[in-house]
Amino acid sequence: MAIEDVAVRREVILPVDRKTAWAALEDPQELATWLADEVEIEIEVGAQGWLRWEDGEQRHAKVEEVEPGRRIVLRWSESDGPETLVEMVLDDVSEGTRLVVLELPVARLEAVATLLDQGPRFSGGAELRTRQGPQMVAALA
Amino acid sequence: MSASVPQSKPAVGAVFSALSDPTRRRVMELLAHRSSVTASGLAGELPITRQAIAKHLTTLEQAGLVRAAHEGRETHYELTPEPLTGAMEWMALAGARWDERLARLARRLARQA
Repeated sequence: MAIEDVAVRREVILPVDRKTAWAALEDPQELATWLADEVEIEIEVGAQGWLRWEDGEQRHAKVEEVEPGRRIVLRWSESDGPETLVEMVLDDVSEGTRLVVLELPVARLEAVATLLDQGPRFSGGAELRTRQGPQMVAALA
Repeated sequence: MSASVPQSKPAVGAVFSALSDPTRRRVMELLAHRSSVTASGLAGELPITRQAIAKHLTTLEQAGLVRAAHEGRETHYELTPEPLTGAMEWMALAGARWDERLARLARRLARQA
């Protein structure tokens, strides 16, 4: 199994409306309460910065895409790991808001994009799936 | 199967099945930062009993992810270099990190709800 074959997908139901959930995603101070211990990056397309954790780990990050109220795509990397893309998507559900996180190595997305000979190199997984339909679902499953 | 050294390379399916559990992923993550662990040692760090941890360690051992060494009354477990390749290790650890982050977020927002 190579790094191009892997992806992590997680989802959680948050017991709040989407507006409240979004506030926890787009504000660096809020991100510092759950995503990392220190967050120095603005959630704006093209912004770059750092995330740090108590265990000493730190990652350089870049904001790739922002769809206010709904979706953020970050690219980050740690010194000894692969550069990965993180997509966070919010959806309304009856219990509140569902957050789906997809993290996958950029190398994998490039491999899939090349395979499908498709557009932007660093678009997020769910967006790609929307555009590509079943083909992308199969490729990223 | 309870041999300390796996007889053959376990199937990828067994590995993923072993890693499908958040507690076992957490154990793997803890192991990644130290040379070995014991069930009693981990009991002080994880919110489950020593017995439950011992069971998880046995599952990980059966999947070939950890190796057991008996020293006195304690069994020490360490990561095996195989079959957790770099890619699988990334997936296990990245997944464990998201489990923790999302649990923190859900707890925080539950307080605001």
